[in-house]
Amino acid sequence: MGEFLSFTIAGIVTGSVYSVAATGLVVTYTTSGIFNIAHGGIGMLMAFLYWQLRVGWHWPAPLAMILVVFVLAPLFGAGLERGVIRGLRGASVATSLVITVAIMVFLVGVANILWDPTVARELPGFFEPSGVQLGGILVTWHEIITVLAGGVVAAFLYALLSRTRVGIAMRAVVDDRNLLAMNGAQPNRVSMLSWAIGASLASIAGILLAPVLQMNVLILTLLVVNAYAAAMVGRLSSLPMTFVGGFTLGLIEAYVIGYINLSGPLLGLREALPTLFLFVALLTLPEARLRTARLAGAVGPRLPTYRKAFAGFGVLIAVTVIVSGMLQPADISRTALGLAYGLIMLSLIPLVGFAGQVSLCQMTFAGLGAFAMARMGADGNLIGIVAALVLAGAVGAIVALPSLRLQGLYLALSTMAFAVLMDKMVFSNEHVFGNLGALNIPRLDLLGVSFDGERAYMILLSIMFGVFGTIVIAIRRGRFGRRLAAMRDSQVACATLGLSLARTKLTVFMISAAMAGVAGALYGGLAGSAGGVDFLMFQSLPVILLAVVGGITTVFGSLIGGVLYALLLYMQSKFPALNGLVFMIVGAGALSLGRNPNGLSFFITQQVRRVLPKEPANPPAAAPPPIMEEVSGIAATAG
Amino acid sequence: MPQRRTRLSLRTAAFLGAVALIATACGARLTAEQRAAGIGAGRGGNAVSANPGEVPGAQPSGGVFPSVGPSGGVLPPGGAVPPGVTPVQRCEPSAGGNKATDVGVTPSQITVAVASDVSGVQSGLFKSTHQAMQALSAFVNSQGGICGRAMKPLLLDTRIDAGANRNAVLEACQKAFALVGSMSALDNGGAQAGQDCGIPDISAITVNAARTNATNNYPAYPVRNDKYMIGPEQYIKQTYGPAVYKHAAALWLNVAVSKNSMAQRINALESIGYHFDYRQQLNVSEPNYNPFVLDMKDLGIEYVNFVGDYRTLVKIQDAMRQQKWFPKVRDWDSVAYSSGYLSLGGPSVEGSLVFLNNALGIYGEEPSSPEMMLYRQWLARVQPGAKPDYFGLYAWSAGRLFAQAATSAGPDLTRKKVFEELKKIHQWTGFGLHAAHDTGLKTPTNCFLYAIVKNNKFSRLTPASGWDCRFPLIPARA
Repeated sequence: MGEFLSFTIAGIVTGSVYSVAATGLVVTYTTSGIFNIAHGGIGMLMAFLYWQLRVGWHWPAPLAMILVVFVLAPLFGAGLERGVIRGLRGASVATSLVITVAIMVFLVGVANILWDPTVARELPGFFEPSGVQLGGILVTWHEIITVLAGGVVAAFLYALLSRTRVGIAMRAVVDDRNLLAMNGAQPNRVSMLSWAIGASLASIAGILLAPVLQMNVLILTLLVVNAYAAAMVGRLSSLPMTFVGGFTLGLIEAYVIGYINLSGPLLGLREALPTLFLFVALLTLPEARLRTARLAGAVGPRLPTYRKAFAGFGVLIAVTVIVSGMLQPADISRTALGLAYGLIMLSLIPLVGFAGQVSLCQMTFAGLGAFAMARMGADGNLIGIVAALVLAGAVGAIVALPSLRLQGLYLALSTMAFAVLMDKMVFSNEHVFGNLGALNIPRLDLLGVSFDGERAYMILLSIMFGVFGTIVIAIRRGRFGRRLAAMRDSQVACATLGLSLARTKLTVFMISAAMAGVAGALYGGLAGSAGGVDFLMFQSLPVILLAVVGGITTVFGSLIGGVLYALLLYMQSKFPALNGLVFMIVGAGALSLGRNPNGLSFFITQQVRRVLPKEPANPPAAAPPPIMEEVSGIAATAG
Repeated sequence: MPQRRTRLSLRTAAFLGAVALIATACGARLTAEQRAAGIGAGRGGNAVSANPGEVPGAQPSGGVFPSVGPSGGVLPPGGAVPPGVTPVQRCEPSAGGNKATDVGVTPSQITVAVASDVSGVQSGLFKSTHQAMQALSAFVNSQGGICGRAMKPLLLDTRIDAGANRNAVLEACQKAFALVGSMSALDNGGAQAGQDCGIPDISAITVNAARTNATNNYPAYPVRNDKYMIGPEQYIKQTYGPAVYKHAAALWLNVAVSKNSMAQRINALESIGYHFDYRQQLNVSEPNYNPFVLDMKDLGIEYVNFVGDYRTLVKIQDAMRQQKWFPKVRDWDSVAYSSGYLSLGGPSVEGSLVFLNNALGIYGEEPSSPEMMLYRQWLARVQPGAKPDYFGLYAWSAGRLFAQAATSAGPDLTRKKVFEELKKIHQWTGFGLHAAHDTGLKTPTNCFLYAIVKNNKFSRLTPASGWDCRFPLIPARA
């Protein structure tokens, strides 16, 4: 009985933290319609601010708490709403997800710069180490306060949202802002208040968690992923169910530790429990209603003709040949990294750029490709590349199958959950990347031509970029590309006209994953070795962010994104003191360009067109035929 | 509408950019040249609170020698070294003047590359190796350099990334004479590249077998996956008896290297009679360690061993203290030998045993070897505010190993000659910094000492002095 009690108490304490973190997510979502992936980042930043006041500057704990939870955090949340979130109104789910991911990455960078990561820090818990003896175990006051905090937060939010005018206004603002305004409320102020409360709740979760975990920027930021599961149980709308979800997850974790002996391949199952919980919660959601048409983006880039595309790729290869002849081997390798990342970003275009589906697991597919190349591509034979394509594509289909009924945010979260599952259970398994977590990845040997040299491999990467780019353009120009665009713009219309959304989604997931797998095999060959740590979920975030910065709808955008990423990593190596700055630049860049899916590539091509002589007037040959005609054979207006 | 969004976007980006610039400016650093010349003044490369930098009783060497000496000329004689310190071996330049005899060698200078994880996901992981090599170079140069040539460190960041490690080695191959004092979690990345170009690679500590097994690699601490040191556990067995070693627990982090290391450890300990009642893999971001502690308490565990980082270790021990459970032996390895472990752990870590094969004294424990004091002194001089640590110690040792081999090779310095000298060294102690490793055969020491945490300090437990070398290495099985 004592043992059961001890595990139950441990589970309740953990569950409280998950619940408090999850309620902040639910509050901001129900009042703004935006799922704040940066919620953990806000909690992390506020935990570090609290540490600075409490430990760094020796303020009394109550004063530090009040300042952080009731002043700094709300101000930050309100400022974030005013400066960034408000501009996301009406934006697609993909855009708002990318923006909040950018905020999270930015906050990680800020924290790394303000607080030297090499310094060991600890945040003492409340009234540690004293506590209360309960059933033979000591429950500390910090743990008791954590549980009480959960209860107080629940009661406060319930009262606020259901019994006060401002709370009802907060719930109304996401349903119909105009109607709310007509009733005399001020929707913008209500939104700011919601985000202020959300940030406050994030700060409470961070301050409660930090004494239990390490004062580590990434650990604190990413632990909120566990809270997503609790939020999903509440369907992102019900606070009581969110609490039920949080406590259930905490208890399951504690009982698994206590009563189930996991070993062998199931060893990673315990760490993956919150993610599995999230997956199950997502899959048991009721099937979402299809979206109706929305106003698509403004002026977009022209779709290039095949001739122009081949000319562009020819220029790329020629430039690669010339530049690689001028550089030393180490610099060739660093430059080639931009092409390797560009290849991975190209794989995102059909899925994110054309179909509008957000994937947060692209590096996971790349990792599968690297693994396949390591195991099947001995001496660099082509079988390794084929294996990478098949394995990653097959896993992409497996990921897509349960996610077919999900859309938008839930689909993105399911890809994130998949990536975390792979991190915990597959990539960390010694049968995958070996006992020491890394495998040698051979370089491709094609028809007797070896690409072992740095220059040869860089030229190979540029050729492969041309091949991938051609595939992407062919997709866009073809029937499948038109289906993807239709799915992005109006799923209701597609379904009405008999387009199989499930098959389209499944196919584009497979294609994207297969491309990422091949890109991962080539990326691994560049380094000569790779392991699970190279393909963690967190690595997927800067990839998608920089793909957006470059331009998620164009091949040129992927090249820009890849080159930018390699450049930032090079700067990080040359100036290690600026480690955090890399994250900040990535985050800031994505924030400023995230709302424009055409990114830097569109901006650059527009400027170039202004300078170049104007082309003779042509009919818009690049524009695809109307979508409806494709499906029903009857001419109709598009979109 | 697009224009309005663009203005908003630019405003947002500008605000964030301003924050970034301000935050960056707060971290102004010394230039690399200043550090190499040992002219450090004011704040150094770290915003940490300084350990006691000045070692009582140590006499500073005579003057600071600039990192780049006059080309072709004889360098000034070396300054005095503190008592007990082995000076850098004297070696006259070539008759007729030194020449550029190999890659990275000029008449006046030898470039040595240090490729370590400094930035990346875990920032500053092995930054201490860079700092140690800068300090070591300044010391060597103050002694007249190596056969009339000054040592110039080329600092390379490998970002906890195998590809970056490979790039760093490639860069070292073309710009440096040797890799010295490097340390990287993914050092396998550069193994093949280094071997292919034939650059002498005198790492601080190798992590992956691929790097250790590379024919060009002769680390100061040659870690090998096929051999295991069993001496510490034999001591525990003999001292505490079956009541302890028959009720053992193994904890490790869910990281490939930790898993592999613990698998080897369990196999080795079971082969000498240990019995593990409890084995548990831990997540890096574990929210609650109480369930594990309570499990071990219920099982009557009396010996606990852990493989992972010291921050997680402190959390485990906090949970032990919270539940008032103190097994007879808490046996940690060198990761716990850290000032951070003491400052974070406080009373929770009191009584912990820490196995070491390096000399005590990094954190000011006494007695401290003269070489240890020298390392701390020069580090404080060249990198004010930098903290000495275990990895920096081995980087310093690697630097001394290189200096010895290069001096023995003579003024007509080539990579081939350095390899020949390294192969001759079979008892390398870093002049008293650590137990003797066999550099030439790349075999680690079988000697150890145990420190115990007493009054929040590391104190020697056993042997009373020197090293316990009674037990040979045994074959390791994963």
